Amino acid sequence: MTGNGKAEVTINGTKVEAEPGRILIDVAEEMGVFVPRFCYHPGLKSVAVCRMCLVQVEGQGKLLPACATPVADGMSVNTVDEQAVDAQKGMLEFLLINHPLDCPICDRGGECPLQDQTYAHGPGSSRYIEPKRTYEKALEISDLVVLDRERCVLCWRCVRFSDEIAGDQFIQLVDRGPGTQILTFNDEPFDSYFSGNTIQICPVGALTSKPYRFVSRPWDLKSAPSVCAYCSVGCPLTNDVRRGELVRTQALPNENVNDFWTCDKGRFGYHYVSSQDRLDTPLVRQAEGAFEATGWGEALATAAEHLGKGARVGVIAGGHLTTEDAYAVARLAKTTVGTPHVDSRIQDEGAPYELALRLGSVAGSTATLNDLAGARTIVWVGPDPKEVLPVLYLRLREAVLDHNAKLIVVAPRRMSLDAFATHVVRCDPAGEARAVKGLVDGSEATPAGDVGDPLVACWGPSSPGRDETAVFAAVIELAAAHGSKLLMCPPHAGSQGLIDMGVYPSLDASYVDASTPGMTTREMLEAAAAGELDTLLIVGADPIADFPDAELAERALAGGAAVIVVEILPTETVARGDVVFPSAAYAERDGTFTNLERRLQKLEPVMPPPGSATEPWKICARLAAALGEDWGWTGFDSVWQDIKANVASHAAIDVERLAQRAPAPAPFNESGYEPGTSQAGSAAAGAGGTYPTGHRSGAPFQTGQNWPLSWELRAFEAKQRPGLIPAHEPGGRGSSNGRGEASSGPSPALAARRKSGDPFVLYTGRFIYDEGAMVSRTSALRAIQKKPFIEMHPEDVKELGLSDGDEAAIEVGGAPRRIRIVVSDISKGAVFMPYDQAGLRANRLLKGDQPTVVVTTP
Amino acid sequence: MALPEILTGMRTVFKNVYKKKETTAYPEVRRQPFPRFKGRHILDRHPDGLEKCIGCELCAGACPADAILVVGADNEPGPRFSPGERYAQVYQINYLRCIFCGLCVEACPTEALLMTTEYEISGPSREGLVFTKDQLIVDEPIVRHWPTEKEYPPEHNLLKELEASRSETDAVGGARNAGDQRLKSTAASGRGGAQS
Ligand code: SF4
Ligand code: SF4
Ligand code: SF4
Ligand code: SF4
Ligand code: FES
Repeated sequence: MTGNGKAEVTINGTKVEAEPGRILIDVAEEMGVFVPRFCYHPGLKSVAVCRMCLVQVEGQGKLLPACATPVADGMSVNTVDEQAVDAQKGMLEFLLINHPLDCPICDRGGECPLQDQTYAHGPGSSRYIEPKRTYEKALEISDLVVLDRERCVLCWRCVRFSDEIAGDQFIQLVDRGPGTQILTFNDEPFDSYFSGNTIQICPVGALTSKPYRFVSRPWDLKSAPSVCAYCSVGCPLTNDVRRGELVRTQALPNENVNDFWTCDKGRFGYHYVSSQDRLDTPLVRQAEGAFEATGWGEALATAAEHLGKGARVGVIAGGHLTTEDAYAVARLAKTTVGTPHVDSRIQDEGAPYELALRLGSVAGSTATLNDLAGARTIVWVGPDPKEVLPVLYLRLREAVLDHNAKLIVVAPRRMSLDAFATHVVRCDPAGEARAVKGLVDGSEATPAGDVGDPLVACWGPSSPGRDETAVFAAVIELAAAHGSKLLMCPPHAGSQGLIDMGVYPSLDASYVDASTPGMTTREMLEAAAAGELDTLLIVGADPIADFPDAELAERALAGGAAVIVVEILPTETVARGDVVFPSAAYAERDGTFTNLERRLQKLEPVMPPPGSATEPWKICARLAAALGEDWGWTGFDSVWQDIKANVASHAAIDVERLAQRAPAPAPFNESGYEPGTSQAGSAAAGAGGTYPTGHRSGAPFQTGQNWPLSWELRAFEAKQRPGLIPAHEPGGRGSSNGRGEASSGPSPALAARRKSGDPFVLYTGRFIYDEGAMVSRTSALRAIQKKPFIEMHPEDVKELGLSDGDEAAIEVGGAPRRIRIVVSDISKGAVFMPYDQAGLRANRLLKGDQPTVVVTTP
Repeated sequence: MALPEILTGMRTVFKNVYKKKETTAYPEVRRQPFPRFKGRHILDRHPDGLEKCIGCELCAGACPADAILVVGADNEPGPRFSPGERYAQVYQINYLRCIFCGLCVEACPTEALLMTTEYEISGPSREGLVFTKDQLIVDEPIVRHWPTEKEYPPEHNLLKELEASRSETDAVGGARNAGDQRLKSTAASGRGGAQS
């Protein structure tokens, strides 16, 4: 044992220090010795079933599996010992006995750990000439995953992922002996939100992607790292492009954010980028009412005319903009145009994010995702994370099951977290605030006694259109009472960046109170409908589909105001625009997304945008130029110079590090490797080497003991891209501006108020696959979208004389409509309706403060 | 002083001036290439008429000139293109890029891709020199190359089958030439894409 409590281990003759108890395969990998493996995956627990990683440990009679051997002081390991190499060769020969070797038509071919390791560690020939075991090939076990059991090497990775990480055991090993095979149960589909991860971790081509099936081979692909553009978790991804078309995205591991995983929406929802109907040229509405494709000059001139109206201009920005876009929008609106009316909250309209300032110096999270693992208690008040922030759901699950955190869920309806929550506090759709207060003072039937420190309080806006002030204020009160950290979960990939950069009516960039608070999205839409605004600039947003009052949004856009839209797809809002600018999508651009823990992560472009489409920040800069103000922006760097100069909270961001311009070369390289430099260390050193533009471009193509596997190299890349969280101080500044104190006191229980025959209180929330403009362009995800339904309390359903699965009648915009009822754990008197269902948008029903819905027997 | 050198040089010159000329009056005289000459490609079929090409893109991956484009697709149930799961939906060879190295033929795991001795590949347009699948694929299977005894252990019964089929093919005889001949005639009668 060395002085610092570390174990000294000798691997292949080189001494290294490691925490005692760490897994040998990891320790060896960090010093650049690659031990072949199939079943071991750093994100899963070791099972040591494939026996590929056998190594020689001095003093042990038999070879030991490196993936299940903890290191101890004085251990001496030889991974290239004759006996070990012989065992590895033998294992590979065994694995190939029943392998169909149909690499030429296998989607994994070219980036397959089995191929790679057979070259590097295999015997080179097989003595087996008898017939192989066969199964039916290419079983479609879901709309996303294709299974080929012949190729499976029974490593259990997919099974362990489903069991340990996702918690939905849709896929299992069945039968025994030589008939052991991977299957789903009773031909049920592989109906997981995380199924795509099994495709990526399967070390062979047994699980392949259906949307990507036979679309490309790995050597055709151009790849670049990026960040998922959907939710605010911000999972890093690689985007793979073939012949100018985005054909695949895969998870890029970042242990701070997503570990190794993404959800299926992030993984398969990329088809919108290469969709045929992308906007590719500016459009200007002509006098007779039709759009005409024009050049940028004319469109900018027309737009500038409409924008030069000072405070009679309203600016609405959507959640899929990058941090740079957000800064540009804020600068354009607040400085160049000179209007305080800027908001970025559409679906989460009215969410009081600025209340977070009472707790810390930021209108955002003070906790990181890694804090969840260290918490003793986690309180979750918000939407169903599995539906809206899927990878956060995985992180919460990990915190509870692996790190023994106590999870208290306060929610008006049943949700995914209930399955492993320590306590579930079921409340009215408006009663969360009361329930959370109960956690603070022990009143009400809440498990206040179980609230222990350190605590992480999580909140996100759950039901669009609802006033969330009281709920969030109560969560902050709870956090303050425990001196705990807050995880604030705005909905979209860019939401937090928009708040940070001051695309917010009551805050300027860096969370400074705005001198003149502007109008919120709702107020702007109302003003536009009433003719009090001359111009609406809508950047990357579709209020008609997303704003929780579709009718108001329609009236606003139909009103007298000129509507300027910056969009990537032809949405309903675009159809009502007067000037439309085409925007670049996430795979086509540079920039950063700020995730819900305020972590900035960099996107790299991998393909050009269609036509003359470009980044929204560029469009803003051009609009500013048309208004006579030259910002002098030329690219990512100059925008960041400006941000650093003007946004105090981001002044210390190291742009070079964020952009990862100078990382070290890959470590699994026999010639270039220096023992003792860990990956983390070399990343920090950051000198020399060029960042591989694709995961294959950096691969040293050589056989031998240290040949990198495609996915291992990807993991390495990711370790160099941790992202950066701007520094912040604890200590809030109390209630400041905008919305006042939480005024709504405890309300009486809903069931008591509602009389039979009254309309039901409408509560809504997003589901993972919906009719959103982006995700609905992936046909596979559209196919597995849930059919329209509403959730009701069993007694309410009984009162209507109906039962689970029956159809009820509801009224939408004056017209009757039938819809399936699902009986659920939701408070009596309330109806839950998913927000954006096929043919039924809940925002058509949302009006006023207390939205209701009439449900009757058809 | 330099005379010997000059004489040696001139000797080479005169030797070549009076040698039999290798050049021919092309196109009036067309030379017969060597049998293994690497010319324009074809895509072969199985005896049952299915395409041998499985759209695996290995040829494209092997090509040093990036001359081949293959886009694979699933064989849908019903009439299929190739025996396995995958077939080539798009198959193109760009003869403006091809350097006739034959690496693609070596890479092909199904012996679908072969090279003929046809060397007259030129045309009036760039697009016309990108040969598409319908131009490359043959109508009738072409019989060629069987594994040698070295490639299979003698006791393996597959060899006997092969021997049997080999005598059959001998009977067919000259099929390969027939294939080339046919290709030539298509070429002469206007090479579809070359003019388009
Ligand atoms: S399907 Fe893939 S991940 Fe699952 S056990 Fe087989 S080889 Fe492993
Ligand atoms: S969890 Fe969110 S950020 Fe991660 S892949 Fe899914 S949608 Fe994208
Ligand atoms: S012959 Fe050579 S250059 Fe021509 S297509 Fe084949 S591999 Fe490419
Ligand atoms: S010609 Fe051969 S190598 Fe090329 S795609 Fe077809 S089967 Fe594969
Ligand atoms: S990797 Fe160690 S036994 Fe499978």
